[in-house]
Amino acid sequence: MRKLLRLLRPRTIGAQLIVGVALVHLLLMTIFVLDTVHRQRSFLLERSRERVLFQAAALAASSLRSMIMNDLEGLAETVAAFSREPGVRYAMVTDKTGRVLAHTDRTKSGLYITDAASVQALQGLAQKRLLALGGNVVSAMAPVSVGARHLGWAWIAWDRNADEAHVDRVTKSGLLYMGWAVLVGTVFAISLAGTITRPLRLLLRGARRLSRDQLDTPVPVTTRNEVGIVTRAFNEAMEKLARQRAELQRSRDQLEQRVQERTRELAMSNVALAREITERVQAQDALRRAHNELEERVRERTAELAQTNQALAREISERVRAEEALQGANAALQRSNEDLKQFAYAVSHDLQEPLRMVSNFTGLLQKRYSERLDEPGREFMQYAIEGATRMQAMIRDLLAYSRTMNVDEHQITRVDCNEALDKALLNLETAIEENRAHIDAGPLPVVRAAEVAMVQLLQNLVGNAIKYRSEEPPHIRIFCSKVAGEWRFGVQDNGIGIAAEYQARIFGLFKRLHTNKYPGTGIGLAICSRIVQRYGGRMWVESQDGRGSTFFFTLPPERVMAEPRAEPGPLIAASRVSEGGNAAGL
Amino acid sequence: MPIIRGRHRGGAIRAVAAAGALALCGCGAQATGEHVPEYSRTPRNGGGQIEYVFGVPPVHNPVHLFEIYQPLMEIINAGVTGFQVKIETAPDHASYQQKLISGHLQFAILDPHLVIGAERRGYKPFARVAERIGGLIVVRKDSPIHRATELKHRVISFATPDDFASTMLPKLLLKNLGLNVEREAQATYVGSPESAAMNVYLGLAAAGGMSVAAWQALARSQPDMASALQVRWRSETYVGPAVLAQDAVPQADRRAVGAVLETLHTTESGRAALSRLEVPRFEAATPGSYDGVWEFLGVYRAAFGPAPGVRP
Repeated sequence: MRKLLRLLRPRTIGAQLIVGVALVHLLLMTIFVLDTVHRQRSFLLERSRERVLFQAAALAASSLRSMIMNDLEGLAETVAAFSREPGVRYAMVTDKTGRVLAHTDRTKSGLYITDAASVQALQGLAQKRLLALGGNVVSAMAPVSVGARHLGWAWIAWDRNADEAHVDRVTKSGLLYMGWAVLVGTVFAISLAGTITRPLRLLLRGARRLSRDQLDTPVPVTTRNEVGIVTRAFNEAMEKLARQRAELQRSRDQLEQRVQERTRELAMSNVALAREITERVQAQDALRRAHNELEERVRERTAELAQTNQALAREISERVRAEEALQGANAALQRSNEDLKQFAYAVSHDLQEPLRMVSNFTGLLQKRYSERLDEPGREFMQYAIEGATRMQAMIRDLLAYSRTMNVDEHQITRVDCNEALDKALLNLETAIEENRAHIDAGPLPVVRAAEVAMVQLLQNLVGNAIKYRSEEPPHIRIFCSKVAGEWRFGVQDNGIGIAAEYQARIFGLFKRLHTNKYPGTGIGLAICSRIVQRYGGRMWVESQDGRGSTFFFTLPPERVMAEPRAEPGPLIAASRVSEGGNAAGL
Repeated sequence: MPIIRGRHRGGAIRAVAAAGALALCGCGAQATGEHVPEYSRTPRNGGGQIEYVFGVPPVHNPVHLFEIYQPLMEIINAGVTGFQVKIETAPDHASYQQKLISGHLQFAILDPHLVIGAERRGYKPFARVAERIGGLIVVRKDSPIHRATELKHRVISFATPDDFASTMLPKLLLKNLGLNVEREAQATYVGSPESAAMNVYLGLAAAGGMSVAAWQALARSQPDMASALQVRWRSETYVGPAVLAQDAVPQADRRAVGAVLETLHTTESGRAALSRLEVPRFEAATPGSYDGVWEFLGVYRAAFGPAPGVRP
């Protein structure tokens, strides 16, 4: 039997659940149905008992008046009224002896009840009682009495077929519900089993994958119940295991890599060490050789140095002597220059007075006695006057040139070249207007120099540009830029230009290219060159004959105190002068 | 023999239900079976002794009558041999007289004015209530009526038309006082003397007719109502109700019953029974005891026509 039960026992959780739920439903519903039927039956029996007793008592009470009056018809009507109740099998009223006074079956009126049970009941106490209960008919009798005085009995019997039919319906309904409950429970159990066992099956698959070391696929969590919690815990454990395995693998890889690297490093170290040892050996050899060579070279060098020292000592001695000779020559030169300056100044200054007398008196001769002279005499007189005048100009310029050589250091100050150009242009205002000159001046720096020298420099250059004009109105451009570490000034014109062979001569004293066409002494550019040289710069000209000239001069950067501003001051003045020219002639 | 048949229907359903019920309750249900009486023309214990029907007039409801007369019946049954008496009444006086006329009653209690008619139907009085009876008129104590003529066109309540003491005597009383109730007032019959008094008490009637015995009973049973009323006029008294026996009843049985009645006041149980009947005692009577009633009926007939309930 146990073997049979063991064989019938479901092996899967789902089957166990289904069978268990079905059996529990069957058991519970069976108990429920049996209990319900029992309670229903008991209730109906009790109700039948109470109802039949009540009806018997009611029939007795209703029969009392008629019985006292011996109103048999009234009794018959009363009994008939009770018999109209559905389910009444019979009703009757008897006197104390059992004689039927009224009966639902009128043919029984007047007869006597003679069965033993009834006779026994008639002889009992005058109180209502149940005659039978439990079959299809329930019957009772109740005394017809007034107080303790007993007149007779009321009898009534009820058919219980309706109750039994009701119990049958309840039983059928119960069995039907029981069937439905088992069916619904089984269906529910099947569904529940599927819901419960599916995550279990998934978990089982996951466990099998785990046994095959397949840790990369987690078990799907399809429920939140305990199985879901176990599944999540399983997944976490599997994930942790995978993580640990990965970490272990990584550690192993790292370890292997480190071992390889270390091995490589060791090999390289060995190679390097071997190389180093070799190199060291070689170096030691080379060092030894170098040491030997060095010692040889030191010996040779020492010998060379000794010779060189001797030559150097001789050279130093010679240089000392040359320097002492140079210093002597310089001193002589300075004295000579000083004497020359004094001489030039003295000559130019002292020559002015007698020259002025010559000029004045030749002029007076021309004024008073020219008419007395013939034509050649007047011509000669004119030559004399012009020669004196030119001589005066040359002495004046030579005096100016000498002044440039005697500029005192205390005159050196901060000079804005833009302002210096303004002053120079102001001095040249008449010439600019007469020649309708157009002047463009770019921004110029602030330099450290004597203002009068800078005004003189710029005035001479601009004046030359106006003087040596071409047929075109002069167009003069003054600019400055830093080139190769020094500040380069330029004065460009559109004048007659200078032939290349004369460009080096023009900076000498009294050097003139156009002695007859253009007035002058030929000392202006010499003054300019002298000023520039004094401030550490140099001066030159770039020109082509008939195509204008550009005079350049440079100043060393230490002379420049402020670089040119974006908005030049002189440009305003020049423009003003130029516009004035235009307004006058154009 | 009674038929006690067990009925065990087949069928799985009932079997299951019964089995379940038995299993659940752990005990047997009440014995199944049904009581089927058997009938016969003769009693199981053979024929009984002679039973005389003792008629009681329906002056109260039947149950009350049973309550007050059944002790008397029991005393009579205890005091006689060879027969038994059984109380019986009727829904109303007409039915009661019908039972009398039909000979259904072997013994009967009747009002005085009906005795002469019963004699014609084969009954003879052999005992009577020793106390004389009379009628009266009650009004409310606050009633302004002091003369019978003041009741003209007013409502006057009575028990029933054939009640000798409560209706006929008061009506003749008022007639003698100058008021013909049938013509000059509105006579209403309300079933019992107590109801007639209740109508006066509630103001539904200006006056009401009652017997002296009923008034005394009302004073005892409902003193509050009785105290609100007062007796305005009383009639003459007449001999009390009679106990009659059918001529077919053997003389010995008649005497036996008479003897019990005449000696009731001598025993405790008898006095208790008399007390319930509100009768002091019974005494022997003869048809001549009610000759005076002849005169009353003549006056009444002259005033109101033939007396009700009296059938020639």
